[in-house]
Amino acid sequence: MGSRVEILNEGGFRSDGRRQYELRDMTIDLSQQGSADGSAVVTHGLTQVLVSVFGPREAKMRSQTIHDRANINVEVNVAAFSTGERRRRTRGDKRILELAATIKSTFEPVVQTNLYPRSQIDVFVQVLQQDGGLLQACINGTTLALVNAGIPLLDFVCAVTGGVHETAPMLDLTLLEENDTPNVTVAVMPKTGKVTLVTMETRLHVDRFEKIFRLAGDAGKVIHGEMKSAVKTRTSALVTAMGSGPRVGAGDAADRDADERMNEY
Amino acid sequence: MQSLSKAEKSYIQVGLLSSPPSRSDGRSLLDYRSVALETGVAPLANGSARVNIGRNANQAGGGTEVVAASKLEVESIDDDGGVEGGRIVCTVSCSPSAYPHLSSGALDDIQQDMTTILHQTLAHPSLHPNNLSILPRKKSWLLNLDVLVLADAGNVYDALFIAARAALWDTKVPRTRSVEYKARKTTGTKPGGTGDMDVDEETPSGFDTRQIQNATDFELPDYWDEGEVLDGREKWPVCVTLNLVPPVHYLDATGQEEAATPLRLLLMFTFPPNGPADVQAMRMLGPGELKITQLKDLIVTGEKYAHDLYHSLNVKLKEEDVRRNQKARDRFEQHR
Amino acid sequence: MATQTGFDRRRINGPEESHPPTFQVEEDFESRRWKLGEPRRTRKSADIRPIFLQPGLIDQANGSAYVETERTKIACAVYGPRQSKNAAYNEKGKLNVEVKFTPFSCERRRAPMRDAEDRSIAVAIHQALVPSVRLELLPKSTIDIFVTIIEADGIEGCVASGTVAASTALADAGIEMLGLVISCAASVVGTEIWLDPTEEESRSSQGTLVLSCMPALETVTSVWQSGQIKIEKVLECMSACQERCIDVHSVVAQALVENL
Repeated sequence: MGSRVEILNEGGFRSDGRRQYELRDMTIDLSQQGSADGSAVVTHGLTQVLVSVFGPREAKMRSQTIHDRANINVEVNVAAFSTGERRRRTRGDKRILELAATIKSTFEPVVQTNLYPRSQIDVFVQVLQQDGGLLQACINGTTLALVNAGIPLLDFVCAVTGGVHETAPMLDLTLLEENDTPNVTVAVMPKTGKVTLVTMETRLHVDRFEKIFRLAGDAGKVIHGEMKSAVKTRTSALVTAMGSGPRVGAGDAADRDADERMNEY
Repeated sequence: MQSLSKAEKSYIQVGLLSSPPSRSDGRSLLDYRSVALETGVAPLANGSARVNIGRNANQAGGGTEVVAASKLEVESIDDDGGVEGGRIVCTVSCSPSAYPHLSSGALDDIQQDMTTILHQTLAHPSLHPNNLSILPRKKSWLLNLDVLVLADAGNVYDALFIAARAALWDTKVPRTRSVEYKARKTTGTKPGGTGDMDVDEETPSGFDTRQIQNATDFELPDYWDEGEVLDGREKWPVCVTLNLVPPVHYLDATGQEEAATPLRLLLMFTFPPNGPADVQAMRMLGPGELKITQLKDLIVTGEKYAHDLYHSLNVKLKEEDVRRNQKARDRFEQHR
Repeated sequence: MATQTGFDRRRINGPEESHPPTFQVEEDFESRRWKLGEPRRTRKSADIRPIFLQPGLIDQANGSAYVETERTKIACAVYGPRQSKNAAYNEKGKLNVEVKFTPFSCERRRAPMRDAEDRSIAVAIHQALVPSVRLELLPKSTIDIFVTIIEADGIEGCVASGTVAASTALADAGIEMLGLVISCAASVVGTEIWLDPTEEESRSSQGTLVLSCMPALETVTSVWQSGQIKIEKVLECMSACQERCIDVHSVVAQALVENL
């Protein structure tokens, strides 16, 4: 291994064999996890997060209730084995609190909290593996978990990370690329085209910003497609399962019929 | 863990005590729910495993879910708190989604209690592996075993120990080779080496084992090699939780059953390849009490359950070894 | 800096790092030469260290006890039953156990705040006591038990003596119990079972076991075992501990009667 890894080689390939604008494999698992009201496991390449949503429910602490809307409580946990170097981060870790606050402020304008006054929506994010694009995975996972829990949203929130290597913009960075290039995370609401989050911790030239910002917006729409199809598949599976469940007043024949249909899923 | 009303508790208890006993999910007293195990789930760890007890068959969700991963770190003996021969540190952390009704303070307490039981059992000197040493008196491995409880639907201790055993079974310790820095000619070894070197030795032979004594650092001879398995991986214990509703006991309680059970007995056993089983740890949890004769009977019967669990776990772990080697080979074939 | 987080300016703090002076005690020297298979030096294998127990030593507390078994010295205070603060309605009372080490209790200094508390011992003592206390008679209330380990000689000794002290203190506080909880430790050394091991002895043993029971009812409230012991040996240990617990029970009962 060389001491410096080429971010983008002459052939236009990145270190993991992707093209400039190519996104990593995205897998979405919306099956039930534990006792959560809604949950989602989202992977972007090797980054994996599990998001569980509880609520809307009564707040554990009464002081946290807001009289005219629901309070969104986001807690992030990072598994000690998720990074190359083992590092145990406690709940009070500043970095984690910041991540949680970012997620919270991203979703506050999107979740229709005014429908649930004096209640609380808990979002628990568990980071299982990290390989760049942590915030993006957390946001996409939270969207899906909220959708899965049946909490009304104005729109999906789809996030993606973009970076610029020399002058070439790239999308969906791995950890290696994230460390070496200026990068920006953008979360968009694809239907309206509104942006709920733009965050950058590195320095990027103003002239480059617009390009990458637009690209990230477009990539958000692609991710939206992925997310929507996953939600549709899950919902239709649930609807079919529900339709084949026991109905009030249904006879034996209907029950047997229903059982057979259940077996298909 | 969950809070149940008196009526719910008595309903569950009556069900367990009636003959034939009836449980809400139709199991008999000694049946386990289905246990799913996968090793190698964390690519950045030296060994890892994910265990699920009682996942719903039709929609892949629910159940108690635990992920364990081990990571090795190099430690200097003396200043880093390293110990000759290496050491093992176990940590359990619980995701708040596993205990959504608990406050963060209570969650910390639960986490710490689980950590204590796991650490006291697995880090006991009688189980210590022999290959965690790198350089005698200088460097050794620190094995961090992190266990993450993602969901608790009852019987979390059994799941913790299954996951821990599987992750430790899966752990590979990198092979190391001692390296010695020597200045040119006769100026002696670098600080850190002892001063009593042979001055007249011009061309040191690679086979000279005396050099190992002054080795100051080490290298990994093969970067891509995963290393050797952790020594004594057969002996990591398994845990069976006996849930006691006198006069009966039952296995693999669900969360609700746990709340209705006054006393639990945790038994951790190891099974040496030849000879009878060893009790590796024992704890009682809950406000119930027992006669000593009952307790003794339970330990003897508990060994039988643990034995069954141990054997099926071993079969599964070997299968996993095969599966992963096979998978790796297939992928290699594809890419060629 | 990690050391700053647990820093308490109100105390006269000791030096940042300290090492205990090492004495070349003859006794120490001798025990170091002890080999596996040799008989126990200080006492017979089934003997326990003499117990000194004094209930009611702390005036402010509702009940208290001080226990001393050679180098293990533990003071215990019980406060309550008193009203549970901030907690929701609970039809059973709550039993809190807190264990603290004094800075000079162990070989290495236990810094106050930072590592003075030991939850694992507290959990073990709590488990041993909780079946004996009639918490169902005390809704909405809390009993606080504070155990201070003044000098420690092995974790097993701390758990066992701590349990005895706490149970005595509960009795001294007049809290209703089903029976006194007595606890006894055992260690397996070679083929022998040594009761009430010291720190040194438990270090050289294959495994240790602490049995807590109510001799008056002949029931076991907790068993706490670690290390590698064959099943038959475990059963033997438990019988040996139980037998010894009956003796200790009379000592505790005697001490309580004398204190009246």
